[in-house]
Amino acid sequence: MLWAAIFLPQLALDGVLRRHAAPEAPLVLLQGSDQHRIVFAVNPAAQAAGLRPGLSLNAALALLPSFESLPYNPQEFLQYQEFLAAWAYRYSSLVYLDGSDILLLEIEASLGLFGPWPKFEHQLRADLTALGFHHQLALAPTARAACVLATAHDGALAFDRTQLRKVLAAVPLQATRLPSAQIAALAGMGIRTLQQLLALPRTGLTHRFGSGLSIYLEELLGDRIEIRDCYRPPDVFDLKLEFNYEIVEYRPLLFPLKRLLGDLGVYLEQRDEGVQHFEVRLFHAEQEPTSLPIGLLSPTRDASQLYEFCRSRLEQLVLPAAVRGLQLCAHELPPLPATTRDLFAPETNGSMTWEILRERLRAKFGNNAVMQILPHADARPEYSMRTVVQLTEEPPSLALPPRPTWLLPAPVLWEENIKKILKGPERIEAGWWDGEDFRRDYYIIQTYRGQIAWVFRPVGIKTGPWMLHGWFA
Amino acid sequence: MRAGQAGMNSLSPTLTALLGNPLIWRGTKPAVVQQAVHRPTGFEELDAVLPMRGWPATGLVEILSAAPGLGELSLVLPMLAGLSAQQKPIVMVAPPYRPYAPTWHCAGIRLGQLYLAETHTDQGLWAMEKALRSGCCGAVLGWPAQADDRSLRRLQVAAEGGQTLGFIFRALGAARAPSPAPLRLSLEAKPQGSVLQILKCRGIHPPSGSILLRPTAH
Repeated sequence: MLWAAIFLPQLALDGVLRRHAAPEAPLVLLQGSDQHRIVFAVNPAAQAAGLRPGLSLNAALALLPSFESLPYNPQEFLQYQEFLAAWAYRYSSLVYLDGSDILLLEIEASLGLFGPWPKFEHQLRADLTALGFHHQLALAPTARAACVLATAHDGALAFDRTQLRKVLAAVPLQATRLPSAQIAALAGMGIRTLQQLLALPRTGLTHRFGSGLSIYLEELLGDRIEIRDCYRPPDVFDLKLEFNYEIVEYRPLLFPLKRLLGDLGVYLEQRDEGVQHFEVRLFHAEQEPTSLPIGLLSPTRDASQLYEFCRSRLEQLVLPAAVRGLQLCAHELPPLPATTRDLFAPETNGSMTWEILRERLRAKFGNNAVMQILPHADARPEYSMRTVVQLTEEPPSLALPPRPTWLLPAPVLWEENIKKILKGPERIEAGWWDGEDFRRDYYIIQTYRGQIAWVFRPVGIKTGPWMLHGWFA
Repeated sequence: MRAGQAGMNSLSPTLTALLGNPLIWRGTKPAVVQQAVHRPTGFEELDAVLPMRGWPATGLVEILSAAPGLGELSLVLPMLAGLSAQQKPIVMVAPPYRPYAPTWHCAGIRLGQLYLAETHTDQGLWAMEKALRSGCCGAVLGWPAQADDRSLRRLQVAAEGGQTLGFIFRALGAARAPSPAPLRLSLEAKPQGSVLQILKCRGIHPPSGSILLRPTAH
């Protein structure tokens, strides 16, 4: 195995600076209680003025009377860690977080795809620079050694264990990521580099420092297999883009939206999942965000389809205020049912499938614009069918007396004379159980215009107008 | 005769090649239309007069009915049943009444393939055009209230492009206006029953006789 370690020396500060308008001005991150604030991180300008982590706020103010200070937010720190781990997941399926500031990638398997190493390294560095994170990179055959090398020496390389011993020899103990008490104790013994430490007899070290140190050294050199918990990408997709300018119309939103949906598509593909319900949120300067929930009838992961649906919904949206940010959250990611294709099935002519067309119609005319019908066991014509969004199975076949093909939404008065009664009466008397009961005598009749209609009269009424309820069209 | 034929052949081989094109109908005898799919209408008399011996595979069919209840749906139900059995979606765009599910089910329509699209009042043609052009539907049925020559032409182009069969149901009054639909049928009530007449059909001269679709019961 080959491990690439990415040491992020100032992750918290980078996280703040990358979205800061004036990163050149002196800036410090503070932590600690209100009474006792301590500088946690400083940017280069502040460092040049003599500020350094660990100073109290008063001491810092004494050195530099004016600088911008922001509270260090551990939550945000974690968010950037997650973000970078997700980024690293692009390059390797084995991504680990070591401590708070190191990202480990197993890259031997990835070299075939992204390699050779110099090219791969260049790619990683270019990405990190573009994202705005300071970093140090190292490559080693063990994870522990990669972490140590990345901390000690940017660009350190060791492809096998012989090389590794040589490269490690010069590493000072401060960079070994050992507990500081141990480093101090070893320094007291006159040991300052790893070479000196490795030359000492192991049994003596175990006696003095416990088994932890010798396990560390074995892992460092690859004599012992290290077990770590690897990073798992989160089960929800949540990405947010912030604009530096205000967007007042939907069209400029389409491009960033397309990018977010593209990311979602890649994410879903990696996980072999689809998305059915998700939400697009538009952030405004002062108002509550506008939410655009999107529900599809079946899960998909085709980014262009998703874009199509979002686009038609966005087109109809009236923006209540200028948009400052765009967020895409998908919390339910159902597995996509495997589709099998018949090799000999006839090709469809259009580029569109019925599912896409239906979503398009729903997007334009509303979620209930496309419906299906099914019979329902009730003698009353008004209640004998139902509409559903999606029919799951074909209803059982039934035997019926003659019934019309068209049913009027509600019976209407038929004042014309009828030419002939073709069939009837058929008495329908039902509904006493739910208060919607009626007693009707239905007839099939022919009108003077040749139409065949389904009409009724309430039971007991022999003359007078008919009620029209359907057409035998 | 022989001389004339020889003369024509020697005169213009390109012309003979052109006349061999199945899209050209010279009007002397009914065109023979060879379709990849044969879609019988379910009415033998109608099949007998149509050049493709059934419904066309693609394009627009106009059914002009003097009034509702003359059998205009019964004309298409057998074909729709066949399409739905082949798992092809059938889309009814803004129907004027509710299709009565039990009857349709009894007529052999797989209800799982039947979709009703409710559109905004003036958007029915848009929805029909989209559905026809998509090429994923078995048949698209529409009842446009206002359809001029231009919008019908769009539908016809969409139906040809999507290789889909489209049906539009209109009032008989529209028969006077020209239409780009390759097949136009009218339904009228006569003393003997509902009578079907072919107003226009690509490939044949419309027969003067009519077909008794639904005889009056005596």
